[in-house]
Parts: sequence; C-alpha cells; structure tokens
Amino acid sequence: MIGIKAISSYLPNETIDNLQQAKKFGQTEDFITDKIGALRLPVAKMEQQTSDLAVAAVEKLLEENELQRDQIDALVVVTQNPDGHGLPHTAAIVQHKLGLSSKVAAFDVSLGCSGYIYGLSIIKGVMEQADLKNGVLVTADPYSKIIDRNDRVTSLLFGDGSTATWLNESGQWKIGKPIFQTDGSGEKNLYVEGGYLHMNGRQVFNFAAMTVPKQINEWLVSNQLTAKDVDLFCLHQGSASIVDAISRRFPEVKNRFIKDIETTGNTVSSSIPFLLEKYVMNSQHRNILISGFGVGLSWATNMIHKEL
Amino acid sequence: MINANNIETALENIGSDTKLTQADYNKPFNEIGLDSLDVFNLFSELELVTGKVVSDDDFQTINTLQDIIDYLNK
Repeated sequence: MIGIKAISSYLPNETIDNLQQAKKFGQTEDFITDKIGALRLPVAKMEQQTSDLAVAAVEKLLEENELQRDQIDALVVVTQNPDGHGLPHTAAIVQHKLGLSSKVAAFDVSLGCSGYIYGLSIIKGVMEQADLKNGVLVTADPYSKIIDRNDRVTSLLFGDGSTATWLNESGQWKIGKPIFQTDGSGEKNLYVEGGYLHMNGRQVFNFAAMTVPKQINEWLVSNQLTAKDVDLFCLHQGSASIVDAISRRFPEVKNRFIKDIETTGNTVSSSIPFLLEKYVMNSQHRNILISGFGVGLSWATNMIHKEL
Repeated sequence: MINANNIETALENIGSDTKLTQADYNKPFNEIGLDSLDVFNLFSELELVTGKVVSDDDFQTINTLQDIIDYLNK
C-alpha cells in the first residue's frame, strides 16, 4: 500500500517582521505573540513564481532522499495561486523546470487549507489506479501575491512556503480513510476580488472553532478510536488562536496539539506537511491525526499511521 | 438565560485573564482588554452554550458584554 516516504520544504529567506506590522495597525505585541502566533512571515520575491516555490521544495526532496528525478511518475501541485492565470497548469511548468520525464502524470488541485488532506488521497488514488511508483505531492500557495498590505485582517496572518511529499510503496506512513466536508455558503468568508484576498475573520474563526472538533470526533468514532489513541494532532496552523480554540475541545490531550506558526505564518496547504516534516517523519509516534480547514468553506480530516 | 457567570466562565475557558467589575460589562471590549480574537473566541464559546448563531449584521451592533447578554436573552 502506498504511503508517505519523506517530506521536504522550502521557506523564502525574505521575511516580514510581524511586530512591526502590528505597530502599523495599532495592535499590541501580545496580540501577535499570543493570538496570531507568527512573529515573521516569509515572503517570496516578486519574480518568484508559484512553480519556483514548488521546484525549490522538490529539489530539496531530491537532495535529502534517494529519489532520482527520472523515477518520479506522478506530480500533483496543490495551489490556488498558480503561475499566470492557471493556464497552463502549474504542475506542467514544474515538470519542465525540474526536467522530469514526459511520462509523468502532472496536474493541479485547486484547494486551500484543506488541500493537503485531499492531495494525499488524490495522489494515492491516481498512483494505485495507474500503477505509478513514485509520486510527489507539492503544496505551494504564495498568498503574498494576493495580500493587500494595508488590510489588517489578512496582512498579519499569511506566509509563503512550499512542501514536497514523496509517496511510494515503501513509505512507512500509511494514509487512512478521510472525511471531506464542504459548505459553499461560506464562499464570501474568504475570497479574492479585485486581485486581493478578503476575509471575514469572525466567520472563519467561528467555522474552524465549531466544525473542526466535530469532524475530528466523527473521524475518531468512525475509526473506533479515541483522542487518547492519537499521538499528535497536526492541524492546519490558521493562527495560534484557532489551534487553541480547537485543542480546547480535547482537554485530556490538549498538549498533543502541535502549535508552530512563529516563523512561517499561515502557509495555507503547506502548514500540515511543515509540521509532519518537523515533528513526525523521524519520530517514534505512530498515529497522527491531520486536519485542514479554510477557503470554500472546505474541511477535511484523516490519519497517517506508521507501520512497524 | 445567559448571565454574568456564563460570560465569566466563557472568558476563563478562552484563557482570558480579564478581571471584571460590574462596570466593565458596559465598557467597549477593547477597554476591558479583549481584542478581536478574544471576542471571536467568546462568541464561539457562547454559541456552544446557547446554540445561537450571531449574524454579521447583529455582531456589528454588539460592543459590550452587556450587549451580548441582552442579545442572547432576547
């Protein structure tokens, strides 16, 4: 069965000092450190395309693992900020920039913060159906392209970054059966208009705080597990406050919820694989619950489980 | 019915260390040390207790803890 073999990531060197931004917006230092959680926001250079971020993460994956580029036969890019206008799809551009074989299956998935959970299931399904051997799931969604730096609601939250997840038959981290949910009535809570991102912060917060714990519980019940069976909860890092609001619903295991947003900000579909790379891949843990939620509204939960 | 005890419990649950006096219930949120995310959090907590969802239009009219109590008890 196909599983996750390794994860690598890329963060741009250039960063925005969020405490400086907070001053500009009349926010306190505590608001940034305790509530937003992000002290620095990595930001891609103007000339850096989404495909460049994707390539940087995959190059790192190739450097750090015994994976050759000619072995890659599936490439999925999760993004809602593709190169140009999304035509052609960014995955094709990445295939060319990386010099991958023309025999690679390559396509984009248009999802935001739930994208990694979907992406794992999609690439696994395609690989199994087409008998592909080495798949790479990329997340790269540079929101700096769509942030109005004068908008206090969005400007303090999002950072740029990218990740690359290698999947194959020998991957130790097996992927469970996900739960996906969608509520398009929330389309206006997080959307782009006039080239900029607009967010109804209260509605997005409330959606995450109210629906995600329910979905996590539903996932656990349907898999005959309890929260205590989960070694780590790696949730989308929307903000420190959102992670706190969700973990509060699981008081017995609150300390198993990872909160790590200080140097990345909210990196959309990349936040979960960033956590998996840092806290899970080389750990002794076995059961990792992953949950992504955001634009759509869309939310999804699954577990990755290490086979011994 | 929502009362001051419910508000204090909700604030405790969200980790707020705001110490309230009677007069604080009629002060704007920012004057009693509650920032925007505290207020979002507080509404989520109270939605769990009351099951009442506050619309965006109504949310704009709620500026104090007393406004919350009055609104949820309507």
